[in-house]
This record gives sequence, structure tokens and C-alpha cells, in this order.
Amino acid sequence: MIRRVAHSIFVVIGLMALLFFAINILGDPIRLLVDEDAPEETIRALHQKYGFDRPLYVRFGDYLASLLSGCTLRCSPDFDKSIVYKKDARSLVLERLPNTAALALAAWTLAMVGVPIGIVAARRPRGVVDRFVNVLTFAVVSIPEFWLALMLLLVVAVKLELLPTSGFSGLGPGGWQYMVLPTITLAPRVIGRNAQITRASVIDEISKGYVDTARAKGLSENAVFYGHVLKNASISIVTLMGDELASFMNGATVVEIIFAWPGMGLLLINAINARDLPVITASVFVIALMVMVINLMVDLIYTWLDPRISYESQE
Amino acid sequence: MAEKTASIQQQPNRVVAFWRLPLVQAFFSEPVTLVSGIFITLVLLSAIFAPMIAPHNPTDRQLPLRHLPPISSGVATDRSVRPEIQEKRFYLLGTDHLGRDVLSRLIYGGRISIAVGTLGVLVSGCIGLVLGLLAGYYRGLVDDVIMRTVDVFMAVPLLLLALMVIFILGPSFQNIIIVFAVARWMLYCRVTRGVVMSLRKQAFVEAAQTIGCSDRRILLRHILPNLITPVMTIAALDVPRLILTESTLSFLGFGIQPPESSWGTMLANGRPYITSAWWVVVMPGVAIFLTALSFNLCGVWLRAVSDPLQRWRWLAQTAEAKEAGVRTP
Repeated sequence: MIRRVAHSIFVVIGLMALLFFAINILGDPIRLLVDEDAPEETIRALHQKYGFDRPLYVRFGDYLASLLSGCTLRCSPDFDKSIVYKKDARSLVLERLPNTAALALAAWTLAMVGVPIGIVAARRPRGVVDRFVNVLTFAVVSIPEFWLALMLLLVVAVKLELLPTSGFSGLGPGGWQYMVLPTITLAPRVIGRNAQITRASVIDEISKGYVDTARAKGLSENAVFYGHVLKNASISIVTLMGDELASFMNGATVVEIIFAWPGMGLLLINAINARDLPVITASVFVIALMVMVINLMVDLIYTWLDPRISYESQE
Repeated sequence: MAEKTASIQQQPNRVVAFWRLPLVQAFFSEPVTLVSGIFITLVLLSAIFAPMIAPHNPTDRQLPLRHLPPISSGVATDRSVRPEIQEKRFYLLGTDHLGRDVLSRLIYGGRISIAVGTLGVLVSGCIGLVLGLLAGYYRGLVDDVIMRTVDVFMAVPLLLLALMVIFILGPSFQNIIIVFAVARWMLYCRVTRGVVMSLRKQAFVEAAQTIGCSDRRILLRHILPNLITPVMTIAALDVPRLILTESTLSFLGFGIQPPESSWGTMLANGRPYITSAWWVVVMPGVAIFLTALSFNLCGVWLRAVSDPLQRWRWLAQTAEAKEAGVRTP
């Protein structure tokens, strides 16, 4: 367990380094900020103002120190304020975090529908139902999310006028109608994946020795399936569903843009368009951090659910 | 003369032999895989021979004919010749907001989507393969450095990493390939490393070491051939993912830049007109969807066939085997 947490901390530090070097070595932060045809003098002045004329390792040390103390994401002193919003980039991102998390959780809950579908498919592998589910799950996984969002907008919001096209009015009870379409857009991909995962883990469990033993004992097919197979398969299903939650943090970006949902994805895209570097680094870092925290939790739950897996005993 | 007859007689036999291969049989007996395989072939052919297949010039603007619905025709002005001539043109999938033929644009856009998908997989696959070989074969410090880097890269979601790299490098076709190389190599690296580690301990590798083969020879001659199947399987399933990601990037304006256009850019361009001309948004979406689906279905078939345990299930077509699929592996 300690090993796993230490590993996560290492990855966070690696991530910060990656972010820093991506911005400072692949590109020049000031040049990313100003217009392409800005005069050389302005660029040099800005370099001096924000301390980018110092050597790289000094800046990296400064960056790491600023991250560790107070966790402000700055690449140099005076560089942690959003250029567009004139606000602290970190608080700006954290304000948006609940919105993205709410959307992700809603879609994730809806996506649990995939589990029973997978179970039904796994009862008769290669049967008619299974083949149908197989094609269907791959179909929903192959739909481009932004296209599905546009189609839903066109049919539900524009043609049928059932729901508002886009917007946001808080996460309270008044804002539910704005949340329906983004959730329905996000869910299918994960429903498909959940069904595939469930089917695969159930079939995997069925092929194990203890199933034959249970059958030899004279247990009914249903008792074997629900009492043994499903119980054991649920361990991997639960953990893999946790992974899917992490994937929403990524997938929500496009959906947030189309439905004007004020989450971190929308913030990130607006920041990229406005060349608002502090906000970009802050949101990339927070999203990646969220993904990692979820992954860590999933791994810990996994060891707790399945005592056979232990991180200490790994090679 | 006698030789000639013999070779003619051999021809059909070879075809029959190919037809009778279990793998080919399995491919053709699986209607879903067959249909998706045919679809991929069609998309590939139309991408390669786009100038011959496309009914019209994809960039030819006919402003008076803008937003023509699918299956309609209009009188277009051919401005490529002097004096200009009026001609009647048929538009199978309609025209977009500048009067360009949607079908022709789809055919040309497919070139980019397919190229991005396959090149992205190829480049990231090669990088991952080489690093995975090194990590799995030499272990120690090399392995630690490579695998910790993999861990860091795995933590960043694909779209996020893509947006970040595109922001720094600027959007273009090459940079999208670079993005995919940067964002996907870990996938192949991990699998390669795992396979290499298990192969390394096997007798044939140890034998090769004993007779004094160089590391390079062992890696290229003995280990690499065993990696083709697992890596191919991941690659096949990653192509649709990259196609989808490219279309998302292009849709957001961070992908392919005009004048070139991919399916994603077509969708983004059509978005403002979605209520008045649905086809400019629906058609590219359907193209992306069907291509990604076909690649996914073929990829999963490839995975099933390359897995010895599952291959048995797929190849055995008797009723008994179908029943046994439930009972025994």
C-alpha cells in the first residue's frame, strides 16, 4: 500500500516535470502568450519581467518549490494569475472542478446499465444475444462523442424542444434539465465498455476450475452462476468501472464545449484559445491529478476486495 | 507447353487452398467481420484512388448551389475552362455551405483520417516496440527509466496530452502524428516489455545466448517475430481510437487546418448550419462512426483469433463446440 502511494507521488512529480519541460523546452512560454508578430523587444522585456531570462534549472527549482508550497502552479514568480480572468489560476480551476465531477458522476451512474447487459451476453457466449450485444457495444464505443452531442441537440433540443440546447444554472435541483443531454452523450461509450468488461470477466471466471467443482457438487446452474461466478467476476468489474470514472475527466472536454457546461474542459479550451498559459498548466495538472487519485483509489479498493492481490509481494 | 498447362491447373488449387485455410474460413463465416472488412477495404480504396472516384472537385465552390439536400442535382458553373460552361451535376450526399460536394469531400477527408490513424499507430508502435524491447531485455536501470516514464505518460489522458502538445507545437498534420507518437507509445511499450520478459527465460533464447548470438541478433531474429501478433492486435484496436481523437481535435480546431479538411473539420464547418442543412453534419459523423466501428470489429476478431484459447472457440463451428464454449474453455 505504501509502495502504491509512493508510486503515485512519484508520478505526480514526473507529471510536473513533464509539464514544465513541455512548456519551457518545446516552446517559449512568452512566445506562446504574445501574438506571433510581436516585436522582439516586447518579448525580451516580458522575459525579464517574468524571470524567464534565468537559467532553466533555477526556473525548474522555483517551479517545484512553488508547487510544493501552497500548490500554486506557476512557472516563474508573478506567473500564477490568469491573464484573461485576472484571478489565481488554481482557484479558477478548482471552482470548475465540482461541475465536471457532477457530470462525470451522473454519466458514470447511468453507465452502470452496461453491467447487466454484459451479464446477459456472457450467459451464452457466441449465442444470438451475445453477437448482438457485441456489435452493439462496439457501435456505441465507435460513436464520436461530439457528433452524438450534436445529433441529440438537433433532435431533442431543436426539433422536439424538450430540453434546453445548452447552458448551466447551478448544480442544484433547478439545473437538472441542462444536465440531461450532456449525461446522455457521455454515457453510451462507457455503457459499451462496461458491458464488454463484464462479459469478458464473467466468461473468464466461468472457465476456472472452481466452477467445475461447484457443478460437480451438484449446485444448480443458477447457483453456480450467481453465487460463484458473478461474485468473483464482480471484483474486476468494480475496479474497471473505477477506471472508467477517470476516463470521464478526459472525455467530458468536448461535451462541455458543445453544451456550454462550465467545467474544467471548457476552461481549458478557452484558455488555449486565449493563450492563457497559467490556466492551461493549472487545468492540465488538476485533471491529470484527478485521474491519478481515482486510479490510486481504484487500486486500493482492488487490493481490499481481492486479498490475493498485494502490492508488497510484487516482484 | 506441358509446363504451361500444369501452372494453369495449379492456379485454382492455390485459390482453393487459400480458401480452405482455417483463418480465411473463420473470416468469411463471420458475417459481421466480413462486412466490416469489406467496408474498411472500400474506405481504403476510395482514400487511395480519391481523384478517380470522387465525382467532383472537393474544393470547387458553387455558391448558387449551396446546401443542396442529398440526392439532388443543380446547374453548376465549371470555372476551370475558358469560357466558363454551365453543366448539370448530381450531388448524392448534397452540398455544404459553400456549394462543395459533400461526397467528394468525404472521400478526400477519408485520406486524412485513414493516414492519421495508420501513421499514428505505426510511429507510436515502432517507438513503443523499441523501448519495450530494450526495457524487457536489458532490465535494470534502462527498464526502470523507461517504465517510470511510461507511468508518467499513462497518467495524462490522451485528449489532454494531445491538446497540450498541439498548443505548444501548433496544429498541423505532422504535429498530430507527433502527438499520437507521444501519447500512445506506452501502450506498445508495456505489452512488448511483458512479452520480452517472458520470452527471455525460454529455452530458445537461452540457447541462442549460449551459442553466442549477439543481443541484436537475439532481439531481431528470435524475439521480434513473437511480438508481431500481440502488437498487431493492439494496433488494430488503436486505429479507430486515433481516428476518433483526430476528428475530435479537428472538430475543436486543433487538428487538420484548412485548406485540407478531415471528417472532423467537415463536422466543425457544418455545425453552424445544423438546423438548416443536417446532412453536412450527419454524413461526416456517419463516416467516422462506420470506419471506427469496422476497425474495432476487425480488431476484436484479430484479437480473438490470435488468442489460442479463443481461436479454438472461433474456429470450431460444430454445435457441440458452441455448447462447450459455455462449459469448458
